[in-house]
Amino acid sequence: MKTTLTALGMGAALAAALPAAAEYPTRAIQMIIPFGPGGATDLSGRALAPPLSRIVSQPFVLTNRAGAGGATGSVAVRDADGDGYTLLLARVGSHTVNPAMNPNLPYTLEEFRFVGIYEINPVSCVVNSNSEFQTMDDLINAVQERPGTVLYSSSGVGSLPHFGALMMLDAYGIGDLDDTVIHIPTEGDGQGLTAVLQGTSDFFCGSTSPAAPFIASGQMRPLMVTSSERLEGFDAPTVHELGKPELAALVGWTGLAGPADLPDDVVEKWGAWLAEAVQDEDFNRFMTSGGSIVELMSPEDSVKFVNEAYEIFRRLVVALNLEID
Amino acid sequence: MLSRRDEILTGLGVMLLAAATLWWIIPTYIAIPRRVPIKALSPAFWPTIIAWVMLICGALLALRAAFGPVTPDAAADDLSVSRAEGLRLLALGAILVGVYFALPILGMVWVCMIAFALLLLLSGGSNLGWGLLTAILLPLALYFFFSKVAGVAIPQGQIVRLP
Amino acid sequence: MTFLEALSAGFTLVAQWESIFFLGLGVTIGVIAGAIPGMSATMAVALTLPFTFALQPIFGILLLLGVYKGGIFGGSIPAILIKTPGTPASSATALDGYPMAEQGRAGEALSMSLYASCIADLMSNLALIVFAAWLASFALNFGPPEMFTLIVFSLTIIAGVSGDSLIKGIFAAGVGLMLATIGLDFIAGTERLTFGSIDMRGGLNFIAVLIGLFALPEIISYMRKSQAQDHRVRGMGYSKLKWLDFRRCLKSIFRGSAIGVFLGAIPGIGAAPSAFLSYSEARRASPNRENFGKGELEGVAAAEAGNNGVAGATLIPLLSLGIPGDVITAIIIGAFMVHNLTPGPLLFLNNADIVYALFIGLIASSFLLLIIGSVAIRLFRYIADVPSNLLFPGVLVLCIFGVYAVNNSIFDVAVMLVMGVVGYIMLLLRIPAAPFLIGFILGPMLENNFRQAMLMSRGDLSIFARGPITILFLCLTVISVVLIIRSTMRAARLKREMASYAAKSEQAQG
Repeated sequence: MKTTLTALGMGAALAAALPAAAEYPTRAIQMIIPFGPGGATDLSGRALAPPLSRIVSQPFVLTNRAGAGGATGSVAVRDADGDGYTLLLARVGSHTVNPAMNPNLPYTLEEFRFVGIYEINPVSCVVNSNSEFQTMDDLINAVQERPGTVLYSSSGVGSLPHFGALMMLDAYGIGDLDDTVIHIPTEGDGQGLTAVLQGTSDFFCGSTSPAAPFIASGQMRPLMVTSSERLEGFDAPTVHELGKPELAALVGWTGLAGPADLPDDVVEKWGAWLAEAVQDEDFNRFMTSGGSIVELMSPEDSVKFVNEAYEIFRRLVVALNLEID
Repeated sequence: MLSRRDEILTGLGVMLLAAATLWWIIPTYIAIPRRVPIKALSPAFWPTIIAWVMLICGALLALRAAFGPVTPDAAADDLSVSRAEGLRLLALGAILVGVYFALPILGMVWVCMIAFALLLLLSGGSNLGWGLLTAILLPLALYFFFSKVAGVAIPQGQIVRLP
Repeated sequence: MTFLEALSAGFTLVAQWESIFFLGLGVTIGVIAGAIPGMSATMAVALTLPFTFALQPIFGILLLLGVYKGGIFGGSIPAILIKTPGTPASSATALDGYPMAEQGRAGEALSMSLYASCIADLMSNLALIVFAAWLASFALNFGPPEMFTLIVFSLTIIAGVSGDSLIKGIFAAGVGLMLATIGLDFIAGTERLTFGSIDMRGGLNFIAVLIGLFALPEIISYMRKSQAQDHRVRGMGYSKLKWLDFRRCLKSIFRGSAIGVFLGAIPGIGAAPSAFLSYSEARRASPNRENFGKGELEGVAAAEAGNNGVAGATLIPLLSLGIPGDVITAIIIGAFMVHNLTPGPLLFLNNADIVYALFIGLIASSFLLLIIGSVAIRLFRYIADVPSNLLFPGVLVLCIFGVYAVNNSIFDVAVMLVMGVVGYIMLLLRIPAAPFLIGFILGPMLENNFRQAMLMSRGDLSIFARGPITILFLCLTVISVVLIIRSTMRAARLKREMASYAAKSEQAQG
């Protein structure tokens, strides 16, 4: 909340100080969503667009360019003109996990300029409610005692749930991750959670939002959350309570980014627009109903946040030899 | 049904395609990860099976055509292309290739207007008046529908931009 | 709340004029969007979603469901009239619908499609209301091994759509399966057959392949011969569906609805396999088997029933388990969540009025579809009157816009054009396109589920016989294959006899 207010104040000050930049935008702004319709990124972007269009006189065109774990859409924005008319809805998968795990990715983080991260999703590890695992310790013990029998699902190779499970297990001192646990990739969070529900996989460590309905209905049980405080509706200890504060870096996020040569005045404008848009009531209701936390970061903070997360993930990938080759 | 000769050639062509996939495309263009715990999990597993099935299909096609009952030539489809038809097909190919390369430069609306008009001329040019009217109005209508109603950013090109 | 109280509360919710208005609006938007290639039901639902935030929960959800239902039927209109299916599911409709349109029976095909859609939709909704709990627990038993055996069984459909050569059909399916492996590997994340292209990493776009394969070869054939065919006007969208013809198709419609309900309840399969399975079952059972693929009314009825039978049933896993069965229901979950409604078992406890309102709304939507659909047919069938030399260039322009709009990618336009040429070559060589498409649709499901099952069992193949469901599908597969081989042999023998008879009579004459 404090960040939001600071950003709002800053944005307002900048907007007032820069009347000359009032020309942008003169035409529609295209926001590229690198994932398909119905995904977390798509819904998040489509919820953000209405409040933004109340602030900005030009329309926003939301464009899905799905494929290759967000790479297709990301490359499209990287190659676009840096004039502020083509922006990307960047997501943790396409802009932290995948760059950290996949050395063959056709883009790097330096090729983008962030204008703001506006949504944070804590990660939660969930199991089926009739699972034998009541706590994290049960799960870890099972992995240690019966290596090669515990399965986890994810929304695909190089996705947040893929990396999240590995990072969690590493924090608990489980080694040789290729053999001790079995990764079952699926197509998307929904399928990954369905695998847990029907017993194909034993656990899933991903964003809280897609898991929230299953927890609310008692079909699944959360074992931990990576937020700093306990989450409403998630009756599970935080990583701090569990004594694994390093896992707090494991969070999902959504933000807006443009090509690297995005001009300063555009970035500043966006800082102000976002600050106003995230105050919108409908938008907040939609985001929080899905278990997300609306938290706006300034452009500078966003870059710092993404780079820090990337560094942590990258170190781990190298140390554990998790690279996709 | 095709004539016996064409059927045999089709079978051999299918075999050639399958063989190329099996011994050239799969080894060259499918990256195998450094660790494949189970053979059935290798990225090349399914493509290899499919290519073998295709190879067998090609062989069966060729064999059946060579030794099976003959289709009377009168009942067989003629694959030959007359000179006029060949020229028209070439022109159509050129238009399609041109459409693809002109899209980013001219923009979708103008390219489609030109392509419509060219196809109209190629097909003989009756209904010319209505045709030209449609050539102009249809791409414009589609543009306004997709960009204004459905919110799709239709490529505008670098020369003339529409609102 | 007792059942009756919930029911009457639900009824009060739907009985407001706004409910019917938003439902009708949704169906209208859906039919129009579905009728435009490239504007699939998915896209229409995603575009409508933000407008529902401000509405009351029941109105918003009814609006989205209307778009969904309308969109699925709408897809059959271009499939029949211009052989340009907007969704993979409606490509089964094009198999017989387009030949009918060419014979001047477009009106008949469209009416059949509408009635089959509405009946299947109604059946599907009733199944949702009556069997939801039972089907949901059944669907939960479908893990990767069960899915794999089901898909293997579904591949036997190929025999039903191969035309006169089964071998060519299998080959075509092989090409489809092969093209479906393009992209990033599902398990390893490495590149497969991408030839270094970034665009190919995401795989070939479904709709681009589909439209290229079906619509473009027609355009190429026409352009090749155009002067010979003095710009005939097909002009005949007015043929009426006869009651007797309709009654003859009823069996296929009910069979298709049942297949749709069954497959729709299992998350992750979608409408296309259902449409094709229904089509091939109808062909197998029909006395007019030979006429399928050449303009058989029953083929249109079966395909559309299979396609629409899925629509209500995908809501079964959504409402009773909270699992989205396809992309559209994933978006609808968003609409539930924004109104603090949690899809899943709790919904029946906490918001029973909403659930029953939804049920009543769904039933109403089948009837609204009937009314709005008949108006739409009346408007769209004028397309059948357009002279060919204007129609085909128009279809090309429409395809370019539509394919681009799906994923905003010019590369997809290139995929469509290349697939058009491939499709034309296949047409010349008498290689059927439908098995190709089935291979392309089922390919990823087949491979991914096989590999997931292998991961689960650590490479032990016995996982494919782990329960009654897998064994059932394996047996069904074996039976189908035996039947297919037998009927193929019989047909071959018949052909041989006819050929030798023809040769003999020629000799006698000579």
